[in-house]
Amino acid sequence: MFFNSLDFAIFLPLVFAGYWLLGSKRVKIQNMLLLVASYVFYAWWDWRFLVLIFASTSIDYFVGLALKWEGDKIKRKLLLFVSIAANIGMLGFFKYFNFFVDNFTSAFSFFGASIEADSLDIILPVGISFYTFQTLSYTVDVYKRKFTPTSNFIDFSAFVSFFPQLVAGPIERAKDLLPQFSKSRVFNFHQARDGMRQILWGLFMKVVIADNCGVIVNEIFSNSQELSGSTLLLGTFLFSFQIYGDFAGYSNIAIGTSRLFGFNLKQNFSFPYFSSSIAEFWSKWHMSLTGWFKEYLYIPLGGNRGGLLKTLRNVGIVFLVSGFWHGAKWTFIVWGAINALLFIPSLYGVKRLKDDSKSGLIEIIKRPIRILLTFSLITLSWVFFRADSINQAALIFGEIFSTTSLTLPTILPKTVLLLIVVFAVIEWVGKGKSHALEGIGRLETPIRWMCYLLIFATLFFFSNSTQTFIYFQF
Amino acid sequence: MKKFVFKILLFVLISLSIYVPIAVWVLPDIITIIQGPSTLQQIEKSFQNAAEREYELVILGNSGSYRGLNPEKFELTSYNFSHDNDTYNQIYHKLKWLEKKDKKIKYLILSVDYFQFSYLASNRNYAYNLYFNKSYKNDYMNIPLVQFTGQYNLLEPNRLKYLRDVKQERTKEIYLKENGQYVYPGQANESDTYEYDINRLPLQEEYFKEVLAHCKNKNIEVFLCMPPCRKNALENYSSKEMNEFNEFINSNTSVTVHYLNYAHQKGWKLADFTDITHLNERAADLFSKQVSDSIVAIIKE
Repeated sequence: MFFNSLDFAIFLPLVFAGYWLLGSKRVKIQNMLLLVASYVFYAWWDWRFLVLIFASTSIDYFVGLALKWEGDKIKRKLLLFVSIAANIGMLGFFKYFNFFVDNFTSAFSFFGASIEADSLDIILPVGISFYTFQTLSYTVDVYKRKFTPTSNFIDFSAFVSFFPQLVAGPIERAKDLLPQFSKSRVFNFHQARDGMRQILWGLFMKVVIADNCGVIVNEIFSNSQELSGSTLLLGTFLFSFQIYGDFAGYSNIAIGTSRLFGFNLKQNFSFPYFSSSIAEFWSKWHMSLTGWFKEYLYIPLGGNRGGLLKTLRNVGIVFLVSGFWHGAKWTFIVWGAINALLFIPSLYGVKRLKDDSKSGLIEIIKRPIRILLTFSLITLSWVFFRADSINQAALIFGEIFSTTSLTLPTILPKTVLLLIVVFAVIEWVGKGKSHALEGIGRLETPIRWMCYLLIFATLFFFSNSTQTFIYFQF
Repeated sequence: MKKFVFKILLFVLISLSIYVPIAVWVLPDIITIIQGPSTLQQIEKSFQNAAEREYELVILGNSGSYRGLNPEKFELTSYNFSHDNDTYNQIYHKLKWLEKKDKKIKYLILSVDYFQFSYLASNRNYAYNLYFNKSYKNDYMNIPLVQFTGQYNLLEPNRLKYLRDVKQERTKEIYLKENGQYVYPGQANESDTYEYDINRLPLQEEYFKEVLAHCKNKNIEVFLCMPPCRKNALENYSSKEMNEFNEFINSNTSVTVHYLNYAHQKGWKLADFTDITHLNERAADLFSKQVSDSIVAIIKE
């Protein structure tokens, strides 16, 4: 069930009505309703996936409880291992099995030895990368005694499968979200109203920006061999808005929907394209995943505590794993590596920037240039993220850095470019808030309502063929 | 909670109060300008002209005849009363409607296609329901009632996106002729494919025979006409299936029922089609002339 579908437009009001009418002030009924709704929501794709989510939930619930009572260090480690092996095992099988089989056979062939191994016809369960990371963080936190595990299976199941953020995040930490399930939730008008605004803006980002960019991006990338550098550059530029509109749009809808039910989820994007360095960008892009890697990978590896070389190694590992998390393809790994290379000097740049922060006027001039440079570098790195293969990415780069980039693009989507300008202006005005429409409440009521109607109308006026959310495949 | 629900409902109400008048009174005309007449407009115009005009030959059938036969190319005064996707139950009710309107018809061109017996078309019931008698619904007992409730799709909000094309230059005309023919531009591709089913539903066979019986009763001479088919379309059927189909049609011919089968006629090129099935305007004119000549020859015999 997609957020931008008629199914969801019917599903959400029904769940909302049931939740507040039947479950008002009765937290058990509320959680039970959310659990049923979440399983229905997930089963809408394929009911067989429910087995996986139920298995992941059950394993981590019982491991959590066992960790609570177990004092023996070795047994605790064993329990942690069971949880990690089960979750990573499932993720590994469904997401990476064919990747490893294909690459092993290629590697053996390269060295002259021929082995036969068949790829399997595996369907990737929607959102598996997100909920396995969420449940893993629970077990690790319980293991480290940072969090007391819950003994309520319904609460825990509802936490793992909470439908607004189930399939594409934000990846919530148990210590932030799970306690919200055990507290009584009372309807809050201001929270719900802002949730609706965030949903509206999320839909705009997805339906108007991402989907319209997507149509042109698909056309450009599927004909990349025949197009000029300038056209490919345009396609890459549009993809940077497609991926942002798609994923940040999804996050806004997820967070807004959660707020309708009295939950507060983490901010996942904080206007990342207005960042003035790569380091700043990564502190504002997919914040829940970045935070997860920082807490559960970067810091356990030693973080920046072991000198320059160890810091470089740790940053490199985090970005490579992050790339691989996105998909079982070499393009994602290269994308991760490029971002690691861009990130390290930027990290030093940020330190220097903090020292220069009193430079006043010069800084005002420098900042837009830095924003533009950061955006350009990030945009170019997206080529690997979007390309079907390393070869295609190399071809695209070859063309972008050739004289054909000095010609006019063969495709010039004026309407889409105009929409992007309008979108960027609204985002710029709203930056600093949790979402672009948060500040709209300060406007006079008639003007505010006109804005709502205008955005609502554009959803239909500019809607294109419905495209799935890109991050669902991760 | 009440305040929140009230505001949401108010927003929906305001949206609808702005949108509904636009959707009902403004959008249809604008969309007609951009996209050509809607299905409902086509059917309304088709019935209006069928009632008002005088003709001795009427053409009934699906899109093959709707787009492929131009009555102006016929020697006999003719009217094309076909419509996309029409099946024999609908054709039968159209004949009954013409009878009710006291139209004196001498000749009928009834289109036959290899796939035309294989389904019960229902997607235009909201329009046909306005014209046909109650017995028409009896064949649709399992079809949702909403299909009979009229112009429900007028309020479809996605129709707003048609307005984006207002400024686009219209290079190809899409129009409904006063003689009933619908002209739709396009260019077929070598790779066009479509899955057709040659099996005949008993219900459609029954209506097909009812149509012939009605014509016999009213002294209407019938010309069963199969338009030219592309090789890609014919690949859906085996020779055995096509032979069996043609035997069935031939078994229903008589002194006053003739079968004109152009399906396998040589000479038609890719450039003559708009897609997998339909002739373009120029080819339709050529084909119409050919059919007219055949009919005149048969009549003179």
